[in-house]
Amino acid sequence: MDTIIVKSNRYVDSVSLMAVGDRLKGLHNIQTAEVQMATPANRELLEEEGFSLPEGLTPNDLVIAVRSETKDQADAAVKLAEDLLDHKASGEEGPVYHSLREIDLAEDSYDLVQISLPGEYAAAEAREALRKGLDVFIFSDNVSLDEELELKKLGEETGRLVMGPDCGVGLIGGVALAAGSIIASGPVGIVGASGSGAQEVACIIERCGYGISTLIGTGGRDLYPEIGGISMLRGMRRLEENPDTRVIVLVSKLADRDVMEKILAAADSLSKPVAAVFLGGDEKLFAGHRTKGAFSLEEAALTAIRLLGETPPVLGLSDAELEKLADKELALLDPGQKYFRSLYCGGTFTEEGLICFSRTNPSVELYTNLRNRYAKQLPDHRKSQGNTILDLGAEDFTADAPHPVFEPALRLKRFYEELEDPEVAVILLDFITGPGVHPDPITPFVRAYEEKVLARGKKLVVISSICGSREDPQNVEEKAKLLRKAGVLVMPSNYQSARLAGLMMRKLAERG
Amino acid sequence: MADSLEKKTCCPQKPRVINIGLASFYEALVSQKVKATQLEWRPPVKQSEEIASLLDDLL
Repeated sequence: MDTIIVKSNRYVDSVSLMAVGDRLKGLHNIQTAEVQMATPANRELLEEEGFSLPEGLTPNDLVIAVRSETKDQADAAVKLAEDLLDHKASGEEGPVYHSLREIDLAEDSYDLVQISLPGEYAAAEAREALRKGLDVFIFSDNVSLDEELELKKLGEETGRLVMGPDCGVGLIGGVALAAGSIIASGPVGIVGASGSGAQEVACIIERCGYGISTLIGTGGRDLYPEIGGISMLRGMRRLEENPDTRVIVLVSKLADRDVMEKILAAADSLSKPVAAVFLGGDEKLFAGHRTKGAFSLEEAALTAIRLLGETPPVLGLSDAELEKLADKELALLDPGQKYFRSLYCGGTFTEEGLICFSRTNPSVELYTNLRNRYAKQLPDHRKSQGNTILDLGAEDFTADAPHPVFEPALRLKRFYEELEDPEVAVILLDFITGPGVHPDPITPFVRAYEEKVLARGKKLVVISSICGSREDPQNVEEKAKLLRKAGVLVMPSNYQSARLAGLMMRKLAERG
Repeated sequence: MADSLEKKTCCPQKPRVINIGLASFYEALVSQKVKATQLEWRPPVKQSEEIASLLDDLL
C-alpha cells in the first residue's frame, strides 16, 4: 500500500530530505520511500516510482511517500520522518524561530546570518539580517545581480559585510562557514571571490606551518563591473582593522580590468602588505601597485608567507623529479591508453588546471564542459572525449544533482566510467574537506580504483590533491595515506597536480 | 544607524550564527561548538495583489 503525507508550505533542504528518505528506505518492511519538496521534477520522479500524488501540490509543499505492506508500517515510517524533520528544524534545546523578525537581538545576540535557501528567497532574508545589523553569508546561488547590488549597497549603509551570493567558504573567528575548512589561527587574512581558490590558499598556508586570521568570501560576481568589488573592498578594510591580521591575500579569477584596478588601488592605501592572485592574469596587472602579484593559488600562499618575513618550504617536485615520476608512471601503460581526464569538483581548481594545461601544452586539444578560452566545449558534458577537463560542480551537473562536495555519487559514477574507458591513461581528482561537506569524499574513490584497476591487474594513473585542513573531521592525513597506499599520486596542491598532469598529457601526446 | 552598527567587533572571536537553510551547515556549526540557531524557515505564502493592497490600507 502507498501512503502519501503532504506538509503544506514546509521547506526543508534537499540534502536533509535525502538523508531522511534514506533512513526510511532502510526500515524493515518498507519497500520504498521518498521525502521530497513537490517541485515539478520531484513530482515526476515520485510518479515514475508509481506514487499517485494529490492535485494542487506546489513546490513549497513537502511530500512523504511510503510503500509498505501494512498501515502500521507506513505510520511508523511517517512518524520517523516527522521526528527527523522536526529535530533538524528545531536544532538543540531552545526557542524555535520561524523568521528573523521573531528574534530579539537585544535579548539574544548574534553576529552573522548564514543563508542557503533557494535563490528566490535568499535576498529577502539577507535584507532583514542587514537591517538588524548582522553580517550575512549567502551560500545560495540564483540571486539576481540587481538583488546582489541592492544587498551590498544596504551592507554599505549599515556597515555590515555581505559575503555572497554564491559564497562557498568562509572562516570567521576560527569558525568554518558553509563548505569551508577549519584552519589553524594565524596572521594571514584572505578575501576571496573564488571559494575553492581562497580555501586552497588558506590550506596551503596551514600546511606550511602558518595560519589564517579570517577568510572572507565575497561571492564570484563581486568583481563584476555592476558590483564593483563592494564586498572585497569592505573585506580588505575589515582585515586592515583586524589586529590579528599581518598580511592580506586577495584571491579571484581574472575579473573586470577596471574593478581589479580599483581593488589594487585600494590595496595601495592599506598599511599591511598585500599579495593577490587573479587567476589567468599576468604581471602587467600589478604594474605601478605595491601589491605582490602571484599567478597560481600555491604561489599566492607562499608569497603571503614571504610577506610575513618568513621563508616558505618548497612544495612539490623539481622539474627533473617530475619528469622522472611521469616517465616511470607512463611506462607501465598500454599503448592504447592515451587520454587525460580530470573530474574536478572545485570551480577554481578547474580554472587553474585549464590555465596550466593550456599554457604547458598549447598544441594539445582540450575539451571541457565550461565555456572559456582555454579549451573547446564538449558537445555533451555527460560524455568525455580526448583530453577532457570537467568541472562537476558546474550548473550542467548540479541542475539535477547535489554539488559533488556534498554528495559525491555523481562524480563517483563518472570516475567508474573513466576507469572503464580503455583509452584513458591519467585521471585527476581534487578533494575538498570541511565540517559542512560530505563526511568521507575520498574513500569511495579509493575503493573504485582498487576494484576496477588494481584487482584486475590493470594500470591507470590517478593524480589527486586534497584541499583540507588538519582539524577537518574527514582526517585528511589518514585519507592521504589511504590514497597513497592504493597507488594514487597525492600532490601537495592543485597547482602541483596540474603541473604533473600537464607534463603527462604532453608526454602522452608525444607518444602518439 | 551605520555608526552604532560599526561599533560591533569587526571580526568577532567566535561568531554567533543564525542558519537559514541547509541543516548540514547548522550541524557543522554545532560540531564546532558555535552558538548557532537553525530557523524553522517556511516559504512565504503568496498573496494576491488585491489582498496585499487591502492589508497595506489596513496597516
